[in-house]
Amino acid sequence: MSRNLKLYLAGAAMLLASLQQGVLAADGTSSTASATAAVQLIRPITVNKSADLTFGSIVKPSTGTGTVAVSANGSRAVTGTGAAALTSAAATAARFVIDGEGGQAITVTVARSFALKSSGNPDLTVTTTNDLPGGSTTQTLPASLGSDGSLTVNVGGAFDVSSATPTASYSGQFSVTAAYN
Amino acid sequence: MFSFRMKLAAIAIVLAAAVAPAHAQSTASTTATAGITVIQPISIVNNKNMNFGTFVKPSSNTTVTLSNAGVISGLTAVNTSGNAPSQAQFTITGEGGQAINITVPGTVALTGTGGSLTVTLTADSGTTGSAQVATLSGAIGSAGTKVVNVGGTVPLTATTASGAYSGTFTVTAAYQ
Repeated sequence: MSRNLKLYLAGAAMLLASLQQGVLAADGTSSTASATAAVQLIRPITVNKSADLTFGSIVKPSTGTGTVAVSANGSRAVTGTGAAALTSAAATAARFVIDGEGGQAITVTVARSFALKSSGNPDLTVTTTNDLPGGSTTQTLPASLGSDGSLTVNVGGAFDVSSATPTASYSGQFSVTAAYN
Repeated sequence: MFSFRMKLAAIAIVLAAAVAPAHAQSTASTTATAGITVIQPISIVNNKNMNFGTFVKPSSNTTVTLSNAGVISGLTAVNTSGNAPSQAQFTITGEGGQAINITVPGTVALTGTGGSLTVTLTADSGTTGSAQVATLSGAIGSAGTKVVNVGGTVPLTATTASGAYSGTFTVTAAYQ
């Protein structure tokens, strides 16, 4: 094998190597470039209620106005002259469990207020409180892409009660919504 | 090839020099023209990668389409912050006015922990999977360019595992 032929073969090998790397072909007549292509799939988001918000049984104030509050951790506080909560009917905060794709950003919307209704009586307006981390509606589900991320939010509430509030059983509904951004 | 063409050009100049000073006698001289076209190498670079974005798994089979302009249809992309849908884009640079072939593959496989998805590619240079003819902008003597956008379609099913899927495809540009 002549020296020239060896050089030629070496050159050919280098040309092949450069082509395999996807760079400009050595003779400049062709060129290649690569791009990545990507898609992310995430599981549907769900919200499930695992506990209702219950205020229990409240004795209304004898005079004036008081408040009834159940915090997100389920503790109850009643104010007002003569007002009290009966220990026989426990209070609970509502609990919602949000499940979705780990690591994904979501927006959680808790109703700010809702009405407790009783037929024939004026509504009692409940203002809600919740324990979303940082008090923010924008959250990131724990865990990472490819596994389930679960976030629990507890919801409490407070309403005014006066000596004039009709005695009755009151109930109402409110919603918690979770959505990917 | 480039250097070979340069050599040809040099030879042509030498030939012309040899012919021109034909004997300064009273005889006629003849001029021949020697032509050669030297063009710059062709190159292609990737400007943007292809990204469909993030989708909630559909309840039934749904095909997501990413247009050559980067617009998604079929499903709505979610959580697009930092993960916005985009078509792939390439810029080809070479000699102005020259005819070229652009080859975009027909499909690309995206793989992830949950398996594989096949993206069918679409290119504004024409049909994918085979070489398409195009012309670089401008005229010979200056650089010309051609931009190629590549979109695609990907079928999603309710049973596709959630996760990130990715793959790579290569586009080739060549003088004809």
